[in-house]
Amino acid sequence: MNRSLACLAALALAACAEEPQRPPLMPASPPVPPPATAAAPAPDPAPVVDGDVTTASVSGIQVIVQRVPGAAFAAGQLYVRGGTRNWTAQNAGIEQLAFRVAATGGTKTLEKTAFSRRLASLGANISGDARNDFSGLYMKAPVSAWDDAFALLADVFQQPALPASEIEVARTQALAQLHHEQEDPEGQLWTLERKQLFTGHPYANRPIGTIDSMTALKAEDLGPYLDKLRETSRLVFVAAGDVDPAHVIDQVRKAYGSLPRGSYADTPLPPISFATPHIVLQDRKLPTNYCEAAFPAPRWSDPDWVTGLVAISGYSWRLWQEVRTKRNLTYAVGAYVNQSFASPFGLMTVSAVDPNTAMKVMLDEAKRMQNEPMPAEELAGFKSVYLTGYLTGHETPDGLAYSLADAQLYGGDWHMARTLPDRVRAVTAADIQTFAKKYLGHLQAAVVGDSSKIDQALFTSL
Amino acid sequence: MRTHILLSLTAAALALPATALAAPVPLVHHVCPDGLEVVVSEMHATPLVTVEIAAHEGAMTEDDKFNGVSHLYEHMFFKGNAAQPDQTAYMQRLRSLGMEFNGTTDTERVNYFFTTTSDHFADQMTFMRDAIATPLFDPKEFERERVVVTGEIDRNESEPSYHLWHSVEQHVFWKYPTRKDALGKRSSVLAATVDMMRTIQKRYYVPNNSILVVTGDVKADDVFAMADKIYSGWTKADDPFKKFPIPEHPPIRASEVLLIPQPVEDLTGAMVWMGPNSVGPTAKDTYAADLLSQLTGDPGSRFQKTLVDSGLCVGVGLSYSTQRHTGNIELDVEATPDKVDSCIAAAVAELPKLKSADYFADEELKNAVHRIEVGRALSRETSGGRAHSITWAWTFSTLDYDAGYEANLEAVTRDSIAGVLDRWVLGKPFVLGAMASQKTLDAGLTEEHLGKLVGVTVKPKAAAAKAGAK
Repeated sequence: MNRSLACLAALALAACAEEPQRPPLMPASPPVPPPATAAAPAPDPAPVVDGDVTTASVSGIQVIVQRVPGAAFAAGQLYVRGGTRNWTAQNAGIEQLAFRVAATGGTKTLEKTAFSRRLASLGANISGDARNDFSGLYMKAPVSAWDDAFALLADVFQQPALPASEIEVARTQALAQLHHEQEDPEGQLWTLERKQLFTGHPYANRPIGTIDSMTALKAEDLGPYLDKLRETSRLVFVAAGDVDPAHVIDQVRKAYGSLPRGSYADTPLPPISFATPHIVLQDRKLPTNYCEAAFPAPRWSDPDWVTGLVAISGYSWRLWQEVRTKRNLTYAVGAYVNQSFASPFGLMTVSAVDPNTAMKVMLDEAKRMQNEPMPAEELAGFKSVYLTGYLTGHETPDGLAYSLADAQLYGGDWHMARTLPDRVRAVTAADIQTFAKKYLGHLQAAVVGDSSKIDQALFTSL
Repeated sequence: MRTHILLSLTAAALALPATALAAPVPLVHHVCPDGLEVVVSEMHATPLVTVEIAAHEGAMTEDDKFNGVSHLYEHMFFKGNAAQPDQTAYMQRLRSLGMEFNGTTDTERVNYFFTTTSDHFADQMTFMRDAIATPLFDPKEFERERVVVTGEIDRNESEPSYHLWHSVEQHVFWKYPTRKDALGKRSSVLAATVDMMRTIQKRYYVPNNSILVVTGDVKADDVFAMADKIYSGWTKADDPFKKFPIPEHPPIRASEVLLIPQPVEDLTGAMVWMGPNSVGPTAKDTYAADLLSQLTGDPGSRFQKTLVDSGLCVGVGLSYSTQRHTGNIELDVEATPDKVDSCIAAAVAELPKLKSADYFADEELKNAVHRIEVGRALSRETSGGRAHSITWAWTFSTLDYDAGYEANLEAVTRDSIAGVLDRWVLGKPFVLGAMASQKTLDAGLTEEHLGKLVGVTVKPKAAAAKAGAK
């Protein structure tokens, strides 16, 4: 048990496991052309080289490769689009279960033990998960093992063994995860928040499913379910590392190019409703109270998306200073934009023994952002810190690949990953104020703790 | 003053099977006149620099009065100092330099780190120097931060797993429990004084008890020249561990079983033995202990197949934590309420089998070494990760231990693994902590029953009386 105390972590609040936070991004030049959906396959267009990034459309598969000279490791990520569009309340969890078992249970040519040993001998990792808007298989390997690791990744998607025993192990572990979530106050808080944000929305059907849906899934359903996802029109492959883009494109063609094209196209999901401020409370006897409030945020492709990232980063910094440093009302306070949804939203969050006083300061700071332009020195600092975070998120090949993939899958254009720094630098104090007026409100609050302590009118006053 | 080159962990060119790793990454080492060790690892792919300072400090230095006070000190690092009059000014300067920052307190390390773009490097270095060498400990800021730290304690106490961990550690380290409890006691945090901050500062935050690590887009010679210059006023002191040695902890007196009721669904168990130290004569066992952890954690291993793939346990892990002063060896299990007995009994029964010659195939041994080496290389891919791993090595072991790690790992044999099991686990006293729901307890789970599963005689008593939970 190694447990160190990360003491100042309040500025970077972790998102829930199913919605990991990744480095943010933004748009410019022409996006990767959407996959053709016509019945007769057209010849693939020539790859496009744009600086260190090469893109191609391979039999309808979008391929993005960033060359990173000298990198010791390389990352390959296969994305399957659809997310919550692919499942229902009844079978929620099936895609996550299928991807996880595919990544761990071996393939039709290498049973689980042999598969595991092969990966270990390469020093490679492959994992899989499902997210709200897409699913992914993620591979990382020493660059010298790229070809072998790529071949394993291809088999994981094309011909996973999906052994019944492994499905049961993964199901048991998913059920345990769902239980743990309700044991941890942060997990409970997110459950409350999610219910009020997503009721009636496709996001209500979580990738991990529910106790009921996971229990009801039949092992024999996983294979046919994955079969339906093997359409090139659903696929995006992203690689980063010291690998030859032409070689990677060729590998993608050989591995997946003969799959049926299908006719998948993302249908936009409805926006999350933020009509009237609202609060939900859950009583639990705890040493402190866990509180959060969601607010609207622009989509990736909206013009004020980057302004929002800077504004909320600055808001979070101010909360830390005003709530924690000056008034010692909490250990953990912050705000962030949850970017792991095609329909993002913001969250302000705090744990406090005196939740009303803490929340009042947080709301006063939101109003200050709405009513006063941010001083130039302060804004410059927030941008500078934000850009440092951008760089730290791009130090590894997998970090670069996640960034490109998020930009492409959420924003429709990988260039957003590249142009973010310039767009951050261009944000003005007026932009921030306009953003704050437009978005900081319609709070959907949630509290786990002593509900008798909560001034509900205050929590819903913005 | 001396400068030489160490080989980093990522270095080791494997004579082993698998895929070769990248070329060695040199760590350049230097000692300032005041005794401050400086290590630099140049990384020029991204224009970032991490500056990190760590001290041999933390829970290991704490008696009852000081329990949790190293952690409070760590918080005070981010307050006013000779250059920044208060935390508001401190934060403003951090922001203007675009710095990401944090600090951690552990049993044997307290570290502080800033990452920013390399154009700010000179200011970043000075900022670190001011923070580490000239803290003000303003009484008003101190009083405010004390409340923040108790807020952190509140959050820990809100999590069921904290109670399991805390209860087990208190019993394993029965004589000096404070020396493994970095979070510490609320009472000692509330009673801490500014004078205690000064005591810690003078005793441990001295150049000859600290390491400065700089990783990223810098040149080693520039770093050394700057370190010599800006740290020249930081005064060397006596070796704190000569005057205040860390007591070696006596062995666990007798095996114990603890039942910790918490609002959870599954049972989580932690069975803990005292393990080897990373320095001194027992250090040789640490490599085999690490390899054993890796071997048993592999999803294709016999260990996982027998315990998890069989459906007996939700999850199981065997681990060793590297420490200079008694690293734990720990068997962790999670079981659904209906399989508590079968999971725990099977897990315990599996331990002696780990010694058998055919338990791990040659290929598994080879792969496990490679996995660890790759994992170490991955932990050093980023400037921050590399800095943390270097200070981790320096505090929890030594840089020499770290530089020789791969060679020692590759020398591990089945006999060395069996030796670790014989010397530290099999037949040795342990503490088993089990966190379970009241419903599971009401269904008949008692400490006596758990004791029978693991071969410990427990005198009957009310399980609830032992609860570590609030």
